[in-house]
Amino acid sequence: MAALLLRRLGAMVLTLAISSFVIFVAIYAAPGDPVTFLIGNPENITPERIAAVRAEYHLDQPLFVQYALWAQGILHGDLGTSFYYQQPVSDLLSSRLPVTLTLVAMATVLFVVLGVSLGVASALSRGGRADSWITGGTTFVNSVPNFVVALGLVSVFAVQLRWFPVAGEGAGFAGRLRHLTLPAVALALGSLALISRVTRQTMVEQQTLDHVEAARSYGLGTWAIVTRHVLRNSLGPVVTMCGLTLAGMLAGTTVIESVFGISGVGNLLVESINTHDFAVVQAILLYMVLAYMVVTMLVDLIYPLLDARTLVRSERS
Amino acid sequence: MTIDDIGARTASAPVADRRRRSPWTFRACLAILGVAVAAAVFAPLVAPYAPDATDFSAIWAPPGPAHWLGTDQLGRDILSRVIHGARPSLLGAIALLAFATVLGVLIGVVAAWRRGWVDTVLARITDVMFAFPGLLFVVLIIAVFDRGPATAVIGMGLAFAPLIAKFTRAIALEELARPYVDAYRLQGVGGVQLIGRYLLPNLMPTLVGYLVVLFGEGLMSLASLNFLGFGAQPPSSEWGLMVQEGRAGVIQGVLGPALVPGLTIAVVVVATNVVGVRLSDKLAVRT
Amino acid sequence: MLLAIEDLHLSVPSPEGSRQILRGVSLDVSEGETVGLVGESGSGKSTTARAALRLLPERASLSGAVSVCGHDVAAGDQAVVRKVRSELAAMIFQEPRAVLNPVRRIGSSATERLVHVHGVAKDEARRRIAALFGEVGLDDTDRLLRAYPHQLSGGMLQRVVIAAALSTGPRLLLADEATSALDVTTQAEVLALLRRLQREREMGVLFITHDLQLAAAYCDRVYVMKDGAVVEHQKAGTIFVSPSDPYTKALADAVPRLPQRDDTMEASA
Repeated sequence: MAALLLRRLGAMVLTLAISSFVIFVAIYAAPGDPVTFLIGNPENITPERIAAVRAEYHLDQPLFVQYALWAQGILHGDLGTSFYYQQPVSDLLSSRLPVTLTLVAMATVLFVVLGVSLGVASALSRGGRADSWITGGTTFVNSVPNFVVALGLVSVFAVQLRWFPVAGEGAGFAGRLRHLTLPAVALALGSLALISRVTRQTMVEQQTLDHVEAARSYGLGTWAIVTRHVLRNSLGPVVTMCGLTLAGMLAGTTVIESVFGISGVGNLLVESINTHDFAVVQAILLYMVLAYMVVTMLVDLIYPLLDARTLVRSERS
Repeated sequence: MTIDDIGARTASAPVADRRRRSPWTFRACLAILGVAVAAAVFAPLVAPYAPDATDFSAIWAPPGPAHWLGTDQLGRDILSRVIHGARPSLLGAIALLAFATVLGVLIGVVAAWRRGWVDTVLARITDVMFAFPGLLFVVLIIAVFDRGPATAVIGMGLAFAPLIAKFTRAIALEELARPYVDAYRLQGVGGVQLIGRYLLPNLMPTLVGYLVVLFGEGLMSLASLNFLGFGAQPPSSEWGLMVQEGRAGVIQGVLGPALVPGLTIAVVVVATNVVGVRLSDKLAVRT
Repeated sequence: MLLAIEDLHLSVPSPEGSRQILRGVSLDVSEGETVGLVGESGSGKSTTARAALRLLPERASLSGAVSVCGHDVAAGDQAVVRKVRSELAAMIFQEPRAVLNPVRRIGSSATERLVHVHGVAKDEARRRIAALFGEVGLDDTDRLLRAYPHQLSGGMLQRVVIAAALSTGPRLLLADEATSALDVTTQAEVLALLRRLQREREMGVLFITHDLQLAAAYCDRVYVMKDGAVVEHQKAGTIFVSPSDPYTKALADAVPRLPQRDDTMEASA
């Protein structure tokens, strides 16, 4: 287990180093020189500004030293300064993160509960009407772009029925929950097809195994067979898929935040691209890569707890 | 219900179901794609209005004889805009796939052909691109090279290329294991010629089926970028951008300007998926 | 009579209409008796044994009579089937590694039928299983109960499976190739164990195998099946001497005979 953890950590640090380097050197890929690019708006180019940018990014140093100093700053929590908002990027990010994380958490609860239930129902009625309705329905929803789904939800539940607010993120716990319900549903709907398909597929495979037949041979009830054997043994792949979906969601709230006008990290990303506020873009991309890596690593570490055999396998390899 | 009943259902039912349902679904989907392509080609001839013809006396008009699908916030005819929008929307997705295919097939075939360290290095690169969550790569490119349709297409193409590379590598490895490859090699046919003349044409059918399925995905992703305002810019009537512009109407209770282009995307995507799955079933007989 | 099967027909739907798997099988097993059921794979011997518990293939249709301890399994309702499966009969499968849930600890799998079928308290179930582990020759029970299947050998796992099968006190044991997957030494040990348990508990055993010689050596009576029908039924002692069916004769001739094998089996038992 310790070896597995170390190996995964090593791989994560390497990927992070490569991604952060790519994100850093991107300033050199931009047309024109990095100073003008980093300042963004041409109207703001003043000698003081140029000096400030050069100092902040250590542009007088060799490339690798620049990167090292930049990365060092990030490790110490210094994500640079937003040239648009004129405040530290870390402050901006930490004020936007809670909304996004709440949104993702709500969507995760929804897609896990709904997706797994639909998958179980589908597997248990394999070949039946419920199965084809669930498969067809989730596949269809998956083919509709999520901003269209989101707008559909807004027009029905916010504009026509007035059950939920149209936009914004609300204040207080109850208000936030109410404001984020529709966005969370829209976010979750897109992953239902994948989760329910994986659940169904794994359960169908598990149903034919000998230990299920054996459990049946000694009179174990249907529900106990499903929960103790079929579903329990399907948890590995299902949890992995849920984890990957969650990881993707942490980096994929942009469109939904934009539809619902939620000032989370995703919307900040759009704003900072539109205002050429590259320090903010860099910080958000780093956060997204990090969040993705951390969640996928956690999933890898959970798997052996669900299926002790994987540990033996990974030790052998 | 007992487990015996559960087990009693046949495993082949979904397949049979798909076969039974397919004739008219498949034809309907082909027809939808035909209409979309015709709209893209003949837009100026068939659209009742110019896409940018504003009519301030008919802002947010409901569907009626003058405007079959109503008008948007500037009084522009939605039907005409959707018809004109077919060209940038479909062309964008095609360009994105073409770019991704050239890159992906190149990587995939070279990896499968050279094996060894080239394969390892290319596999690492595609893995890193895979690990990079979805749109991030595209976002970085857009942030660096500024917004615009070309940036969106190239960025999205780079994000799609690893998928195609992985797929191509897998099918190319399978194809290269066939005896005829060795036979040509023994006759002294060079690598480039062998790949271009024999390998690629044999991969094409499987690849095309896969690409059609990816097309729906590409159309959706590109529409998302356009919706965020990263790709096509006004006054283009690209569908994703139309949804973005129609958003204000939704809040006021005017659904048409956003939902019509939105549903158009959905319908085209569903149709491509149905056709694509059917095509890859048919074309991939060899596997 | 513990198990009585009479004129059992079973067919499953197939692309060509329906496929007959069993064609009029009749056999019986009495208390304290070991009955062999021999045949090649696909002969229908496993299906016959599973029919005793109404574990049927998908969408199978069945006619004939199957009764376990006087309970009609073929026509009975769910309650009858449940009673037969949970109390009267127990099945031991070929591959112990496959019938134990790989993600659960041995303790959880072995006590499953006591806890989740019979509603016995967990501690009590563990105590009973631990006692049975001793009876089937497993020691270090505490460690064993916490182990996962992949950490144990096939022979140990089959002992675990046998102990679990005995935990509900079945009258009839259906051993479906219970020793075929084990190596020769372990096979002999498990056979001896089964024989001892059967005698102590006066169970009836239906011993299913593809090995005619093993069946002749181990059982009191032997049925031979081919293509879903019983083609031979004899006392074990005479089956090699006077096979009546050409198929049994072919089977008997195909194996080199070891006359003293009966004695070694008995001795080790």
